[in-house]
Amino acid sequence: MKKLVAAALFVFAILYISIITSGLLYYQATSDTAKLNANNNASINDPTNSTSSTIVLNAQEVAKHNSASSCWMIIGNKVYDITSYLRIHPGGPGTILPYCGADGTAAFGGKPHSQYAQSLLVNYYVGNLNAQITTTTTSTPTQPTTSTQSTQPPATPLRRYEDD
Amino acid sequence: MLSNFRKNIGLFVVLVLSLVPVVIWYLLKPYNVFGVNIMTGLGEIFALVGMALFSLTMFISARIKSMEKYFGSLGRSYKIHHTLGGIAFILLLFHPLFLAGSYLLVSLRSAALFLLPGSDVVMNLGFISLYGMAAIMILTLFVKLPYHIKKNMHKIFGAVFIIGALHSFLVASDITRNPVLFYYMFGLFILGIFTVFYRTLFNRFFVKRFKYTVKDVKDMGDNIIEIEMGPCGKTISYKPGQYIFISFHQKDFSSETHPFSISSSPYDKNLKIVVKMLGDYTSKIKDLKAGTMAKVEGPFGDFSYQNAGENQIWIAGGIGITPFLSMARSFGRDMPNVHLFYCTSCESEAVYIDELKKIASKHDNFKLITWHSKDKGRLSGELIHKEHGLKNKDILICGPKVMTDALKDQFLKLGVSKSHIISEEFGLL
Repeated sequence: MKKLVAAALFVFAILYISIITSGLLYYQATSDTAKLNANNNASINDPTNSTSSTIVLNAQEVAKHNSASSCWMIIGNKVYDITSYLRIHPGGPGTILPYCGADGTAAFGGKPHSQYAQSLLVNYYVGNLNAQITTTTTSTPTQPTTSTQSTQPPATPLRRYEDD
Repeated sequence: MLSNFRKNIGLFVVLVLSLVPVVIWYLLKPYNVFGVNIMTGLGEIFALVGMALFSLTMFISARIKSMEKYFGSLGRSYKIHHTLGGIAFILLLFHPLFLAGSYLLVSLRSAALFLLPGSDVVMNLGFISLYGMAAIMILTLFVKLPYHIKKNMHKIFGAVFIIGALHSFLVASDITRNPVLFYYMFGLFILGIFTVFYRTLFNRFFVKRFKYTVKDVKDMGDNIIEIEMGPCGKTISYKPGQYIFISFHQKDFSSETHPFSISSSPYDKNLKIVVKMLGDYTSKIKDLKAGTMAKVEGPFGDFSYQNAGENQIWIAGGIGITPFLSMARSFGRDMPNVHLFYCTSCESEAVYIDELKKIASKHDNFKLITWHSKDKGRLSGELIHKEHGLKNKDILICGPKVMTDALKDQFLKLGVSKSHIISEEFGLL
């Protein structure tokens, strides 16, 4: 047991320190590149098969993404795409689902969400409510969709704007 | 056969109870399990099993007399307690890492932030509990400290347990979302918390103790003291070879509780223990005076000739003669054929030799062999095998761990099966 506990403590320490240091260092790096991108304001993707479109992040637009396969939500006048977050929500995906495609400000504020939870939102930011954003869709050459399950979430690399 | 089954019931039940939360968890996941992020899933499962084991490990350490037989012996209970405690710790240690891992999906920074103390009180409780546990584990396992300090430090586990439980019941998780899981984990928690109170706040009321009075403190020579006590009320009933936890209540004498083997015969009205003055506590034992009150808890242990067959070899190393004294002093008809090897470094250490010689002279089937390692070297299994044979014999060994381990090894190599070797260690429980 002694050896096992010692090994466990050692591995824990290594992983813990790695995650913390890389997480904090990476933030430095990403916040720099993000600012750089914001300044350039250019579309990054391969233009050959891509179509640029402008959408307005209003309530109707958000309401289109109201399921587990694509879940957008309005929280405090900002729009978030939290599809990938559903699985890891400590409160369970079920508590978020009813608010997909809708305004979840009250629910988010009502249930005590820690500063940590607030900090996670940043990663899912799409844009401000009613703002106009440019989305770039890279579409593959026409493929007949044979499967009935076309639950592919829109593979749109979204522009990210760092909150200042 | 029944006893073989019975001594494993305890461990079996503990393992099942620890894994039940996983089954409940699995049945309750709204998505199918493969839809759950694997890091999150592992983080949750590790926390559930770890917490369940923590609660049950606490309960095992309560040293409840009626539970002893379900774990084989008190010594075995403590071994199980240590192993399960270690496993619980490792599971709990890794659960925040797995959860942090799931946040890697969000961003590397989120994962890092998850692991740092922040404004979330409930999360912080979790970290306090975890680091408290790690600190006690490290100090207990890897740092050399006096016995009584380690013992008292171990008590801090109670506080760590309560803080950890608060975290587990308040943090947003499967437990808070689901009543079945919540009440199950809470039930286990009650078991653990009962132990904490049983051994602290309610120690004097609930733990069964027998009151005895010191009658005689005999210096046997070679730093060995025999203490004889008379009952104040109910007498403790025990089998030869068992031990007790005893505390003495005398001014300027420590009231700590310590385990000692019983050296008196169960047919004696008075209770006797033999103490070798080795450490901080035992070196003061000769200061005990007649009339001092002693509180006795027990008896514990399954080191007994009654579990063995017709032909037995008893090997006593130094102060390890104590349980055999009880057996020899109660030697009568219906006793097996015994060869007792009384091993000491030299003659002056064999303080009970005269009494044992007398007993041997009265019983044909009780043979005494003295062995002084200074003259003859260490006693070996090979030697006993040559001179007395090991076939169809049960071997009982009691003495220092080094000696017990060495002899056990030798006997196993000579072909004696494990079930025929019974040993009692005077090591740390």
